[in-house]
This record gives sequence, C-alpha cells and structure tokens, in this order.
Amino acid sequence: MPGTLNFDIIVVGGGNAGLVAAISAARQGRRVILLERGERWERGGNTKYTRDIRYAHDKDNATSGPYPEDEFLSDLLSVNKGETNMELAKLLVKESWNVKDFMESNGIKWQRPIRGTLHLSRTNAFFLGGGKHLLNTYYKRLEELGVKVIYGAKVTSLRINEDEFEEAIAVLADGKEIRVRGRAVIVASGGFEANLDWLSEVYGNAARNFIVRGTKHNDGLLLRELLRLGAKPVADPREFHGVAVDARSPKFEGGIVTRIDSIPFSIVVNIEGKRFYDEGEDLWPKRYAIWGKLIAEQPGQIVFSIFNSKVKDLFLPTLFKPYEAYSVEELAKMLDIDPLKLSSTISNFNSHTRECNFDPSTLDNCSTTPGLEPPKSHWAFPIRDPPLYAYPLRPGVTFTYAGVEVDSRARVIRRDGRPLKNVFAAGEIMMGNILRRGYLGGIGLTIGTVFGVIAGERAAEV
Amino acid sequence: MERRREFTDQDILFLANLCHDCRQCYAACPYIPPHEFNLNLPKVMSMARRLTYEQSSRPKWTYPFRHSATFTAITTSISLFLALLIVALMGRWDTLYSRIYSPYQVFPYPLIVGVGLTLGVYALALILLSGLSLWRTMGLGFSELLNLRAHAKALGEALGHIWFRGGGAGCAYPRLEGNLSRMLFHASIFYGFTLDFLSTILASVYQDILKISPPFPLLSAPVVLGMIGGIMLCLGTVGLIVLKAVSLRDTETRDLEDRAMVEADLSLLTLLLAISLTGLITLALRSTNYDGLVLTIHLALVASLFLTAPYSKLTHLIHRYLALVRDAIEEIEESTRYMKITRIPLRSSH
Repeated sequence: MPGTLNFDIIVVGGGNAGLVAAISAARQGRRVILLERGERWERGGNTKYTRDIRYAHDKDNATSGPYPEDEFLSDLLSVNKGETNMELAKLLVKESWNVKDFMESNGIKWQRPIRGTLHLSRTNAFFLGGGKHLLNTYYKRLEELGVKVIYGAKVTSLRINEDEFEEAIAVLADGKEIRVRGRAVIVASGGFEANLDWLSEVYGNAARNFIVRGTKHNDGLLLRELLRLGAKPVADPREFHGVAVDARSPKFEGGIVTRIDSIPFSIVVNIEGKRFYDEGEDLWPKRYAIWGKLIAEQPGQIVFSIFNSKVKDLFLPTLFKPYEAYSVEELAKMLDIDPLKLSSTISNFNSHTRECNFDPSTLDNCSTTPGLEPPKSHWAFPIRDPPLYAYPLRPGVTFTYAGVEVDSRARVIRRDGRPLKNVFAAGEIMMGNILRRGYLGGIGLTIGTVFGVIAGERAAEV
Repeated sequence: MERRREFTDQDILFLANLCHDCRQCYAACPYIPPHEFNLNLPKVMSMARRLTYEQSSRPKWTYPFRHSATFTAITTSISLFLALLIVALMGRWDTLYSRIYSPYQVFPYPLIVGVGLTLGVYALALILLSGLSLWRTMGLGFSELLNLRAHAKALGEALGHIWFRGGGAGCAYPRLEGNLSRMLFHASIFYGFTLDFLSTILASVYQDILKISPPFPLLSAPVVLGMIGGIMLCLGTVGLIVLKAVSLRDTETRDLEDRAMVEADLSLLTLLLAISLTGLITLALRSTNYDGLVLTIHLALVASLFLTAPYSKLTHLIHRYLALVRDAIEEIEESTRYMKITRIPLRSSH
C-alpha cells in the first residue's frame, strides 16, 4: 500500500508560480504541501534562469521610471497581435501593481544601480541575486510558513471525481509511490518544452535537434494529465519561444548563458553555405526571438554566424569561444561546409556592401546594395580581414505556449466551459491564456506571480 | 562583470583577492555541481588566492611555508623553547612558579621591547613586500599606489567590512543561506586585535611617559582595552573556527575551498585563539604562582605570530586591502569616464 498524506492544498511544481501559490495559501492559514520535481540543488524549474520581472508601477526604487497600466497592456497586445483572453490580460496588468509589494514582503531585495554597465530598466525590476536567489528566498519563506516540501517528487496523475479533485499520485526519488489528498490542487508544473517526443509530434523530426535552454523536468506530464481529464487546451502547441543558442551548449539546462547575440553584426549561413534571412533586419532586442524558429527551418537545424574582428566585442560575452580561422577555406572546413560554396556566398555578400557609417548602436545606413538575396538591411560590411570567426547555432527553445484554459480565479476550465471546482493552474502551464506568441521580457514571472497569488488565495477558500 | 567583457590572468588574481568568500555566487548559481558546467567559483577563487599568496612570498624560497600548519607548529614550539631557555639562562627560572609583582621579573623590559620591535619590523617589512608583489601581479605600477582617494575608499570598506555583506543579502556562509555571522566574528577578531594593539601602545605611554610601572590596575585603560580586545579575539576566533567546521562538515559546502587555504586559516585562527586565551589567563592569574609561566607562554606565542606572519594567512590583510584599492581605482576611473564608455546592454531575461 502506498503512503497517503493529507493536506489542505497541494501545489505541484516549485518554480516561481508554485512557490508564490504555496506562500499565498499558507498565509491564509492552510496546510500546504509542495511537490517539486527537481532535487534540492536544481529546484525551481526555469525560474533559476531569470533575473527580472515586469510590472505596472509609478516611480519606484527598483526601476528608472513609471510604467503605467495602459502602456503595459498595449505592449502586451502588440507582441500578442491581439490574440489573448482580454479579461485575463487586463487582470494580469492590474494585479501586477501588487507584485513588488508581494515580493518585498517575502524577502526579495532589488538590485541597486551600479555605475558602469548595469543600469536599471524602466519597465522591469532586477531582483538581487537573480532567479536562483529568488528561489532560495521563497523556499526559506515556505520553511517559515510551515509548508512541507518534497523534492524529487514526480506527480504522475491526478484523481478527479466528477468536477472535483481528490488526490494526486506521485513517485518519489527512491521509486516509492505516494498519494496526497487535499481540498484543492494548484498545478504550476511549467510547459512541455523539454519533452522532445512531444515537440516532435507537433514539429516533426527537426525538434530532435532543438536545444532545451531550461529545466529538463518540464516534460508536460501534468499538462497532458489535465488535458486527459478534460481541461480545455489553449494556444497552438506548434508555437514556442526560441532563440539562437551555441550549438555546443548542453542539450538541457544551459540557461541564459548559451544565447548568441552576434547575428546582427554577422552573416548567417546554413550547412549548405547559403544565407537565408536578413540578419540586420532590425535592432537585436526586437529580432532575437525569431531566430530560434528561423534556424529550426534550416536543413539539419544548424547554422553559422560568421564575422571578423571588427565586431568581435560588440555583443555579450559567450559561453564558448567562437571558431577562429585565417581564411574562408579553413573556416569552411572547421564548420563542415563546402569551402567553394561558403567562399562564393561571402564574396557575393562582400561585393554587395558599400561605403557607409557603421554604427552598432542604431539602425545605421550600412545596407547591402540591390541584387543580394536576402538583403542585409543594416550593419553590412565586407567580411574580409582575418581572423574570421564563427559561432555554430541551433534553435534553443525557451518555453512553450500551449497550456490549459483558466478563469479569472485561476481555476482550470473544462472543455464544456465549466471550471473544475478545486483545480487551479498558475505559471507557464496557463501562460497561453495571455500570450500565444512573442514575448515581453520578464512577463513570465509576472504571470507566475500574479496567478500564483490568485490561485493560492482562491484555493485557500475552497 | 559589469566592468569588463574579457578577463586577463591579472584580472582573475585581482578578483580572487577581492573575493571575500561570501558564497552568494554559489548559493545563487544555477550551474553548481552536479550541473554539467560544474561551476564552483568559490573554490576556483580560493585556489587563485593560494596561488597569489605563494607567488608573493618573500624571499621566494619560503613559499612552501605558506599555509603550512606544520610550519606554524614548529615555529611556535621553537619560540616556546627559546623563551624558556632565555628565562633559564638569565637565572630567572623560579619566576615561572612563584608569585611575581611585575612582568619584568621574568623578562627584562629592554629585552621585551628589543625583541618586540625587531620582530615587528621584520614582519611588517615582509608583509609589505608580499603586498608589493601582489600589486605588480595585479598589473599595477607604483604611481597608482599613491591614489589617496582610492586608499580612503578602500580603508572605509575594509573597516566597515562591506564585502562581508553579500551586497545586502548577507554571506551564504557557512551554510548556503544569507547571514552576517561571518562578518561579526571577523570584525570581532579585527577590532579585538586593534584594541590589543592600542592597549600595548597605551601601556608604553603609561610606562615611558607617565612613568607608571606595570602591573597596571584592573580598571586602567591598558588593562580594560586589553581585556575587551582579548575577549573579542577569543569570541571571533572560536566563531570562525566553528563556522569553518560547519562548512567543512556539510556535504553541500565541504568542497568550496582550497584545502591548503583551510589549513592556513585554521593555523592562524588557532594561534590567535591561543594568544588571546593565554593573555586573558595571565590577567586572571595575576598575583598567583602561575602567572610567570603563562606570561612566558603568551609572549612566546606572540613572537610566533610575528615570526610566521609573512607566511601565514595574516598577509591577507595587505592582499585584501590592495585588491580593494585597485577596485576603488577602477570605480573612480569609471565614474569619471561614465558618460563616454560604450556599455554592454543589460541582458533581458530570455
């Protein structure tokens, strides 16, 4: 007989959303248990790899100026292209006013501006110590509130009778199965971006070559379970947020250090030595998020960003050194590209550059001359003087959008439109209600925090 | 990281000495072992510090003495032996087990002052040489040593123990949770040591200027300062030893330091503890038959502290201080250039 535990509230997933939900429910006096998939050292899912959060505010000490609600909402709608649950989007923006207070009251401190290269942003606040420190602080808070935490707990299924949740079944690190009964469950177990089988189902074999930037534990087990139990899906499973990462990165858990930002100042060729997209289309912060998908469409899902020493120091430092060569032929051999094809691409590109004022800080006038396909709209200059450098790039998937539909109380909605009475969802698993494509920096934590509080407080009322 | 994009070896040795082993970098890092990046920055910094200590040993052949508990133990034994030998040779053996009225019955005043000053000058000179060597290793020249603004800033930071505060979150030491215990214990040692030093100066003022001979009354300034200093040293050293033991026993934190550095830390802490304890005991046993013996041991231990100083962890005083000065120089330069430099944009979260 498996062991059975009894609690008021069961929280599945110990990233930002789950922690916030557990804190909120425990603050209402409920007996809470949190089941975290990772071991203690790796706890906290993708929250480990974050460092800032977006919220609406007046002038405050963590940001460089006010960020009004309507500006936040319009930023959100512009990346969404309007595809959102407007009620929840407005709720998110409105409730984001309280995010800073919530965080501070639970021990979070803010990064002070340092003279030099770290300056504050207006829309986002940087918390002291980054994502893992935020997790450490919240886990410490759980301890103070008497919340029980089990690490290495894989929740495999939920038992629901009619509309009502009864118990969760989990396998522990030692292989033992436990049942946890509760009056309500809050599912905050993230997306399914680490499940390459699932990604292959929707994306084909190309997905096998994706690099998963975040936690290996986000395999969508609970998302699938909720869908099996009749939850209404939201957002297109084909949509994912992906950036260009170094192809030499670990398959999972490379985190934020694997992203490569050399693209706008380079030319990018595929394994056939051909360029395929305008690398200098726009300022990098507006374009980096499209490159994961662009690379996914290329043969073998690998491409190369090639540049020379002129721009070598213009982007963020990288995890691995770039390949370095003194001729195009040498570089081509390193990259396993046909040298003739690469030479012809580079010389063709070089012959379409012109005299201009190269300026990395703005959309400069260094566009290629007519006749080059695809063109490069900015920062085009001849790639000639060696040494030449190259980063190999693969699609790095950050997160998936598909999840379950929720109402304004964070209750999971069934396919017939009725909510499950005591099943709540927060964080990435319900992000698709608000965001179905695109991204606003720091909004993942906003969604986790706002809906974590709502889920925790509403679950405490059940 | 906010100041530079690439790091030279000089930068790394500088950062290693600026690093106060606060460990928030470890507690807040997603890439710690067993992650495949296996990033253990506190240990790497500790190893780099060891390298700078060894490289800056003067004379150079003394580098094997560095960090060695055996060296400290041998030097201490020799000091004790010599102290007792001197007492015996002077025909004062009986002062070790009979009631004495003045410390000078055991060791004559000129001997104490002579040996004290000689050892003091020797230790100070070699420590300064070690510091100068580090200064060059960090890639700096003599003129930069004269930046008074930087010295003022560095001194303020050192006295205030600013770098023991984890940027506001406290140090993740000994366990990986922010707290200020290490700062308090270290400050207790530092200021206890300072008080004892002041007490010694005051004692010589009493004696040579005010012409008051020891032993001074219990409520006189030298005794009160010395006693408070001694108690602070005791508490601080015991505290740091306990914290280190906790850190070394916990599986999560046991591998965050270079072993040779641990040996150096514990050697110095033990010696300081022994000095402060014997100092306090001398006071407690005043006017008993054992005072002379404890006093002799105390003075021998102090002599050993001076003798080992250039090769012990005590040199961290100058190493850390100079690293703080270099940091201050950079920050001052930075703020004057502030508007001109190209900055690396802050990376958004994804």
